[in-house]
Amino acid sequence: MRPFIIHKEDMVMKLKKVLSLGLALAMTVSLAACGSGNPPPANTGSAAGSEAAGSAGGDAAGEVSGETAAAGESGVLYSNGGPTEFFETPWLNPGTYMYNKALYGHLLFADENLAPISGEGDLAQSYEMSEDGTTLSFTLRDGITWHDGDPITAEEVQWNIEYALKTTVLNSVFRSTFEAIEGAASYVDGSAEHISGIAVDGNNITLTFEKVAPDALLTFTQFALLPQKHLKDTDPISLQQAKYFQSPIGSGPFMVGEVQMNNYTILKPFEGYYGGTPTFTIHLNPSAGDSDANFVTNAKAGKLDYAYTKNIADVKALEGTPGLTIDTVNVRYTRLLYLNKFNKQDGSAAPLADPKVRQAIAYALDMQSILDGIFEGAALPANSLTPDGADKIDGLNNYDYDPEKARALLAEANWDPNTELDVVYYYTDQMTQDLMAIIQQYLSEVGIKMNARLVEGDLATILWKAPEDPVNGPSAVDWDMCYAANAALSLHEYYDRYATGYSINSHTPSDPKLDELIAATNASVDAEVQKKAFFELQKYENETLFELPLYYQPIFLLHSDKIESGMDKIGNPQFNYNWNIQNWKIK
Amino acid sequence: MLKRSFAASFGFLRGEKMAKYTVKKILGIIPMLLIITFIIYWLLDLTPGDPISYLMDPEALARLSESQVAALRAQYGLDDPFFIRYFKWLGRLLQGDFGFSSASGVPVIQIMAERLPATLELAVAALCISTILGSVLGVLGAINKGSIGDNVLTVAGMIGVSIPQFFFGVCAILIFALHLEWLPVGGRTDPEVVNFVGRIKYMIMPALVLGISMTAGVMRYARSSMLDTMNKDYIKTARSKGLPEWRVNLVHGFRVSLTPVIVLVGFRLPTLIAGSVVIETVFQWPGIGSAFNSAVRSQNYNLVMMLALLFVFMTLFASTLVDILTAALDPRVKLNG
Repeated sequence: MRPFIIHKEDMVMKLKKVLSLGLALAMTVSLAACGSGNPPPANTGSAAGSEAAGSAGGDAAGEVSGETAAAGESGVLYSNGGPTEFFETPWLNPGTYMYNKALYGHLLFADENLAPISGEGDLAQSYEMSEDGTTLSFTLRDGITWHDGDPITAEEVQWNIEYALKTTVLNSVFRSTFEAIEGAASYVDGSAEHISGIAVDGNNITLTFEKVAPDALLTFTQFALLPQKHLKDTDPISLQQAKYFQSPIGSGPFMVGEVQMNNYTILKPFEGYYGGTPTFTIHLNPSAGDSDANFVTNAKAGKLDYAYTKNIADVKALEGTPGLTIDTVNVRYTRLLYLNKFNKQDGSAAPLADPKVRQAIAYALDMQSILDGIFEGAALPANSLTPDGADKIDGLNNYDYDPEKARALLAEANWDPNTELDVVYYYTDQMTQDLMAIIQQYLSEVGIKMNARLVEGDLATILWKAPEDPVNGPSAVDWDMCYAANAALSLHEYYDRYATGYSINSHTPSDPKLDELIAATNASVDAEVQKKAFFELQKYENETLFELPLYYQPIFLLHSDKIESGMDKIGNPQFNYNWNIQNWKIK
Repeated sequence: MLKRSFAASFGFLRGEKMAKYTVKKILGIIPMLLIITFIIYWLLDLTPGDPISYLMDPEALARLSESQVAALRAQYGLDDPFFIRYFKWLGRLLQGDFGFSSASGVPVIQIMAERLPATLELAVAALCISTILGSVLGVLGAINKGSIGDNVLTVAGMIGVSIPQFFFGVCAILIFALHLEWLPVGGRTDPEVVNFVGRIKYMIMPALVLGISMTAGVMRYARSSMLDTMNKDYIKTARSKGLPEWRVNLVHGFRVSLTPVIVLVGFRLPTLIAGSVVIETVFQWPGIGSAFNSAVRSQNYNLVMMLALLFVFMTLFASTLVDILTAALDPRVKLNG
């Protein structure tokens, strides 16, 4: 019988393998041991958060937290947009995230159409704008406090405006307003310690403007106040990286209760809120920006009671789900094609410099059919940057699909059929790629060649770098058309960018008539005067097509029947309006 | 006497050589780490744009003045040339300064401490599931080679390898979370959960999906290994000695065939940690995979480098230790080489 022998080399090989395994496991165990078995408790990394916990507000909120745990899921409003690594500053996208709307107070209220509400404000008891728009004064409410119990002072309002101007994360509408205050330029360039046009007297703040700030009131409906004591030592350049934004303290109806980054965040009622104390907590599921990959699954699982999406596929997937309502909200969100009219860098003329070519492109696209196919009717064809409604003049040319007219216009413009338009886009979704292919097909039918390409990386330079010479060019960007989106808080945000020399005007050469029309919209704080000026601008836009509006994309607001009452007004969920959340009744 | 003296001398000489060999091997990790980290840093630098491009909305960035952009770049040390930046990062690392996330300003070590345990928890659970299931099914397939059961397992294995994890995950959510309502739809915990036991229900689906999707590979490997083992002489010897078939299969065959399978599974861990991003996204699992993914996309240098360094170090360290211990046990290994 042959003996049962294990050779020495077999033995060594086995030992090697076992050792390998042992080492891999040992490292795994040691790494696992680096963290506790349980996730870390409420985020205590932020000084701001720690101090809040020790405050009166913190104690009160602790009671609410206990009630919630005992009551299970009742009394909890589920939403999304919870932080994954930090709370985004409220100064760039003031209402994109649920937490920014719930945590912070603003001086004034806007209604659901984002029009400033006259009379009583939010943190301001009252305000007054002079008829000529040169002064704006606020009187703060008595007894208003931050979530940590400290009083909100008029000096802090001044500090907020001054500090915001030195940050890099400031909404362009806010920046325009603040830069219009007397002495703002001297303050920004460092020659003055404060902005001379801001005067504080007790609970009163008065702003004196050097030039008309057409969106001054709108600004203060959206500009959240932040507590000076937590941020005064933070370099404005790195505001977003401040510890404060791990657990921020505001003055809104809700305060931060518990933060489990990228897992969940609990907002609890702020008992010191002047407008009343909410009776529920908010549970935020994490999601980045305004796209939530888990929107449908969370909604179907009852983990989403109030949230919005721009994704029509999400809406279709949730159709018929019991207990859920989805409202379509028309907002200032326009998808368009930027049309580069500057000469190219080699000195050759821009293919789109002739308005007839631009009009031909508009006639060549059957936007209604395209949108029916891609958005299943949820988006509307655009004839101006300004969405349909009272802000838009009637009678604009819709450029209804007319390929014959497109061909005729191209012939008039002596269009060279060998010219190939270089079209760029930066969205990576399938819908965009489909749209590019469809546009390419429509244009080819009238004799326009185009090539679409995705651009990535430094989009600020690739898309928006303005030429050194805004009159003659040449272009500082390397494309003929760019598929883009404009989301606007104010109508000025849509159009100001086309003024000569504007910092992000990469594609429209100086046009005195256009400059004049834009200036007219900024010449008065009177809403009616502004409206008439915008009407004239829209007519010129519609005739010359200095950009090509494609369609208006609505936002879909989901709310569940867990919200029993209180949600009476529905506005643009990406901005702040008087939504009365502290009085919502939640099952 | 002479023989013993020679052996002692040989042992002493080998021990001295072994020490040198060990030091050499450990020191060998350092240039490897430097080269790999340099390559990763270089690749990050080659990606379009720079971290500033991802810190804020590009249109908002385009509105900033040149001086503001310059200040931002200086703030993140991006105004230095590539080599200077790399060596500055290396210098800070050697001083124990792992840096801060450029997105949030949070220390990288804090992010790792918060996220890594979640991923390890999931990865270890998935490894256990796939190892046990894959080994057992693979061995059963090998023992019953050619049978209907073996063919079914082979087909199931092919299907398991072919189904994308996200599809498998979404199906699991639809069935077990939305339809049957047995398990939560996602996340790792909830405010009312206070201990690990309470969190198990959150782990079941992601761990099973990840584990089962890995099982097919382990099963195929275990089957091949078992078949190979069954042809060895000592198995035939065991049979010829009259041992019962179950004993031959389980004691002599299964045990031996499992060793390479377990080594394979063990070395899958670093890959699993880095590659769990899909499952983490589908199940809203707050692990390191999604953090690593977003850090790479946003050129968050400090976070990417530290995570990459960790994965590379794990692999190199394990490999080096195996070399050293093998050399210590096997006298045929040339210590001068």
